[in-house]
Amino acid sequence: MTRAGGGAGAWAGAEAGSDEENRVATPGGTAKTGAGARPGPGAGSSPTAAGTHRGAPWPGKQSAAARERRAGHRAAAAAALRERFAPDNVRAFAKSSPGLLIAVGLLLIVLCVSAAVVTSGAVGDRQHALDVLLAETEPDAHSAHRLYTSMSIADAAAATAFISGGLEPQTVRERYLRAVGEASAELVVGAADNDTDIRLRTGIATGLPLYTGLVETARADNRSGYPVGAAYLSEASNQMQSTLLPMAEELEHQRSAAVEQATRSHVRPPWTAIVLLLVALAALAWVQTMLARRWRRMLNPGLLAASAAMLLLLGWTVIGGSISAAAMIDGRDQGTVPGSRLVESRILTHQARTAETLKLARRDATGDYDRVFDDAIARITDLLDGYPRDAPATGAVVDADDALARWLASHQRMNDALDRGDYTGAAEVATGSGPSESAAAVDALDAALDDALAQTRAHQRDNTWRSARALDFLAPGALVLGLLAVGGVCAGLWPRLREYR
Amino acid sequence: MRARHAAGAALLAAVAALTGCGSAPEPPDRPTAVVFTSPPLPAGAELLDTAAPVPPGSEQSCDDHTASLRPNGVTSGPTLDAIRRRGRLIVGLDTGSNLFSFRDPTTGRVVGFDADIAREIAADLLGDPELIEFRTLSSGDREQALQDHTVDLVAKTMTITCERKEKVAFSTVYLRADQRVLAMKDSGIGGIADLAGKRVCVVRGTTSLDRIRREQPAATVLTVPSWADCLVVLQQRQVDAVSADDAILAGLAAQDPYTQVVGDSISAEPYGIGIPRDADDLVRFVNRTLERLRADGTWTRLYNRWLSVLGPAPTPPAATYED
Repeated sequence: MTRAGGGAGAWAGAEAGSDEENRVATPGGTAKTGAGARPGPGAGSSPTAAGTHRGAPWPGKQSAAARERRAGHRAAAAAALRERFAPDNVRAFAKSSPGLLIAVGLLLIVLCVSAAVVTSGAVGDRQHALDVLLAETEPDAHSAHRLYTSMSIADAAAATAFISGGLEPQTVRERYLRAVGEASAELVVGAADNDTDIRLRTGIATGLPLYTGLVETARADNRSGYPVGAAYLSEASNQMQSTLLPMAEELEHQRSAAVEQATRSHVRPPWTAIVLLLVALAALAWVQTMLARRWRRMLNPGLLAASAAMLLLLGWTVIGGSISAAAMIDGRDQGTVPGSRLVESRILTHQARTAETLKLARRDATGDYDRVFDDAIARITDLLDGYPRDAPATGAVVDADDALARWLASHQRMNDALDRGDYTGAAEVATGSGPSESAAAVDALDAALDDALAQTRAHQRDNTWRSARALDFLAPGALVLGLLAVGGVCAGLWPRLREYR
Repeated sequence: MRARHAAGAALLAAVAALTGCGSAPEPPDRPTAVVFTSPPLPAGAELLDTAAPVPPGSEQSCDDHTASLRPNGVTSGPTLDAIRRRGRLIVGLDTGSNLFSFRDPTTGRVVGFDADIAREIAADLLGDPELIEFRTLSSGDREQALQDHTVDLVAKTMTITCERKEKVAFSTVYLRADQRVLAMKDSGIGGIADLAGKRVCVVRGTTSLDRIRREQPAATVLTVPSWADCLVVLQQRQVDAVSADDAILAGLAAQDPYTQVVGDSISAEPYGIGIPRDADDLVRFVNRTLERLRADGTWTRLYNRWLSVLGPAPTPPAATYED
């Protein structure tokens, strides 16, 4: 009990100057009041004041202490603790020189630590998010895109095999089988873990076997010479076009949106961390000027070291964060944005091609398929014309433009043949294997878009990787520099604090 | 004794609680299989709303509705000249009616009884049976296509009715059919009376649809765009039966040995070539060709080629003329 009282003396003494002043009887208490009320280099560091104080009993508590000695020591300890941390006591102590030193020291430590921890956390989170984007989100989006194109290619191949009449060409059959296999594989590979994703993948995974079953039924009927095969193929195609492909498109949109969102949140430097670092630096500077004014010491090596550590961290964060953000902006503007144009163009290409083949397969006279075709082509033309000139893959886009022009010319020849009533000629133009026929032009367009897409995708991934690598070592570095700063603050303030002992 | 039992039970309960006996947590949700085990329906298939009003029972009556314009030997006229200028005859049909108009899987050509009748008309009009363009029409679009002149004729198992005659003209009767029922052999369905509470497939816009709703209102009706779609849903077990004209049903049954045409005739269906209402010259010309087909044995030849499953060729339906 006595030892506890002695150790707490500095606090108790400071408290004596406030509300309990009238009851104070000990000389130590009054002496301390004077020292505490007017903190200054001379008075505060006086060894006598500290010495007097150390031996002082609990001020203003003598009668209570006497009672407690009879009753037991525990209540006294509790009361003492309450007393020490009473707001008035703390406030009074804070006004004293060592109190002030401890307070600013704690403030600096808190600021340095929080700036370092926030920087480290923000940077670490960002780096982790970018690595997830690279390793999962973006490949999943690409997988959804390939799922869509594979299924669309499969359906186009099935319809082409049908239009060609008789036994389907071997190449068309192989194309169909490959596309179905690729679609099934993409369903297993890309597997994001949220409800919509699971619902869409389940829908496609359960619908695809039914689709292939219908296509094979249609083939079997065709081979037996049963015209009902056409109805099975029409049912299969309808399922693909009205159920499976819309689900694949939604999946693609959803996953692309996840990529865009992940990209969007990382195109800015880590402002919170930077602001906190600036605050910590400002506090360090303020404490140093205050110390210089009060104690007449011009330079404090510890605080200077702490400032240097914080400044280094600030510079690192600003430069690393800016490089990282710039890479993300480049990846977005030259990768994701033109890439989404290409993806949309490619999906529309497939939809237009489906409309073209179905118009033939069904000998449609309503003009519905013509409308779908014309709308899709108009949109593709817009998308390709508006493709940014400074983006990657402009060469491939020019190729795509050429292929589109050839396709339109061939499509016109098909319609002319149909207008003449020459169905066989129209089918030959649409599905024939000649280099100037629609099939070749569509393949060239699809290949050019695929090539362009590969380039924008590589650009986006490279920049995301660069963005993540610009932040390498910054997260642990921030913690180390934060610790160094804390060490500097302690080293800088400890000698000042010692002068009060 | 009872106390010892109680103590034993309590002990067992305590042991069970301590050793973690009891039920496992619920397994995580898995997508249920119910939603995706059924095959899809054909494009445009619709379950008919049973609450919708059944079309009026008494057909519009008119003087002999199968009577048409008599051929007068004139081989030119505004419609005929327009077709000759174009150089080909545009015929509306569908490609899903086996035996009448369908796409031959081996050659990709549109063939069948109706298609061949149309080719005979083209041969008489233009000198070449291949100067013909087939456009796919669903049954419900036949009258509209004729009114809009998107086709010159419709050769598509089209029944001549007084109601349709308000909108379009018809040739003389070129085939007589009877509406009947097609069902799986093991289904136990023997006629229209057995269709109560069953699902029946019918093509939209046909006389068969109105008839089945009047004659058997207790049946649920699935409508589809073409007769081939009806065979698809029958094979996928999404309907119990198909009701159509026997000639069409025979075409479906020919593709599936597990089905059979059952029951008596529900109604007689005289088929005519549909022609735009204002094209009197074309009506007379088509009737002239039909006269030739009846007279020179071509009709019997075509019947034997396509419709032999219905039995030996009858005499061609006699033409009746209104003037």
